[in-house]
Amino acid sequence: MRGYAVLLRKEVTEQWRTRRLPVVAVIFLLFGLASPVLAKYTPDIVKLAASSIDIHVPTPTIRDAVAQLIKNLSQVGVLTAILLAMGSVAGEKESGTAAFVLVKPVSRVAFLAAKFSGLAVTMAVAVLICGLAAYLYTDLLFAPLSVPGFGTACLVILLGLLEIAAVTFLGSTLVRSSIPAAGIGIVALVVAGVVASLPNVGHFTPLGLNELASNLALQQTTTGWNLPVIVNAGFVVVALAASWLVFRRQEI
Amino acid sequence: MRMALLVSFLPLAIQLSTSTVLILLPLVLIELGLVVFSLVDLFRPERRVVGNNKLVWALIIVLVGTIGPIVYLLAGRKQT
Repeated sequence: MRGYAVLLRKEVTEQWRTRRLPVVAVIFLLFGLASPVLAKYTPDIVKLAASSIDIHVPTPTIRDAVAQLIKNLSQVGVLTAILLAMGSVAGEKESGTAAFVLVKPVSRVAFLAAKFSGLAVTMAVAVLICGLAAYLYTDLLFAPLSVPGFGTACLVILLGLLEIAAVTFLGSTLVRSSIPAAGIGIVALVVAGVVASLPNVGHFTPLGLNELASNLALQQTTTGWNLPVIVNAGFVVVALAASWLVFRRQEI
Repeated sequence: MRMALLVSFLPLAIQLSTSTVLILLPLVLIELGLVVFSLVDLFRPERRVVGNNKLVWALIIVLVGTIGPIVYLLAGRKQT
């Protein structure tokens, strides 16, 4: 992969200078902090909002904090992954930057790999910050989570987000504009959402991984999850390989 | 949505202890910081935006909850 290291450095620098990396980190920090808080205070807000009605709201537990975090990340995290990936290749083709870079002695596979690696670095930093914030606030408001369990849960969440990002990245390689690329990512997300609700096959989707993340964070049984994790990681590899097959002979 | 959330928190905030206020403070600061940062970035003279309509983006940032600043910062800005 000729030129990969140079291009990756350029990508990470670009993510920083365009403020994408700090912005995504702050967004994930916000949701990391907000999830345990929302879990803790939602019953109070409901009671205040419906003070004239007698509503029994169960006392929130650490399980609610974890569920809230996973719910927020499967909404805002996925949206962020699509927004980050949609213009990664299409935007460069549209603006002519891709042609400018590819006349230099770098291979197309290195160009694509560096693009996706830069995106993955941003997502990984964001999930790390989100995880630290959520861990701290869950500890403050509820009880401490298991560090290895919660850390592994964050990795599983990251895998799910990278899967959505990889499909959007494939879309970004196929088309010349960011909006259709985002459309491909959203369609993939809807399909994943439908398949996730089906018995037996739901675990093989990025959204199906949420159950595994929850089980890991709460130290519940996680047997039988090896194959779904391998299949989900395989989707990332397949999407990236398909991107390369499309891009290697594409007219820029 | 943001205003509704703040209003719903108001009666609760009056009853909150200092430690709880300190827990909530970073959330409020980050949320407001995102909106202010987005608006300052939007109204920089050299900033070009998707759709070339800064007023629409300002409304999205202010009115569409937390998602507004996220969409603007990640997809609304044209790189110069």
